[in-house]
Amino acid sequence: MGLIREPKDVDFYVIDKPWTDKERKEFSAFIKLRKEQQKKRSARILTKKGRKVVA
Amino acid sequence: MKQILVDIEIDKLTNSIENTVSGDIFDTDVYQLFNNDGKQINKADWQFKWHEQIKLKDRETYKLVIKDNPKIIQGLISFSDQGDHIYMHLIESAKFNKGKQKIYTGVTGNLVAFACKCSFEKDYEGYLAFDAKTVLVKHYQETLYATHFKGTKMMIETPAANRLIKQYFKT
Repeated sequence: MGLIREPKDVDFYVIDKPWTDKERKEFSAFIKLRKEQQKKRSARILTKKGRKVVA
Repeated sequence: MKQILVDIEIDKLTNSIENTVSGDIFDTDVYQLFNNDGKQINKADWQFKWHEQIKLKDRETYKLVIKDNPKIIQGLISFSDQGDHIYMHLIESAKFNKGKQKIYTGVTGNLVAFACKCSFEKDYEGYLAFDAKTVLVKHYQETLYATHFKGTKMMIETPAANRLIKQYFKT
């Protein structure tokens, strides 16, 4: 457990900038892709583990 | 009661904010602010127009306070549900938590971790997006594990969100 300390001379801000529909769709497609990649990675890890057990 | 404790395991929030002078760590609570909670926010203490934020129906605004001291707001965040991720509109530390003389550190990290937790609870796997000020991009990468999406658009993905939550919430 640790605390996230921002540097003392830095104050965090974000800019409230509405995304366009195009940007939102791009981001949704990106999230979908990343989730699929993660699923495949998890499946590969499970398969590898399975092989180890069989061996 | 106007204040509603959000339905996450707030009592398990820990190691939240640190007094920069004494090094003491204070547990915190997060409360949602509603339309009629404007009087809790002293306009002079905040750079952003939080009174307007709490009135917007497309987003939720939360305040971070030290446990058992709900009147003194340490930081504020507003975010909206985008269907597959959370978009962080604004985040700000209280006036006394800004600059080199800030009293408490960790306020914004704590609030971002909270937003990531909300993202998990909505089954968005921790995804959080925001627009960063160019000069702060590096700091967001280093302290919040955020990554670039496009231009100044940044995101916190699942592994980073998990990492943030582990840093702030007992599991």
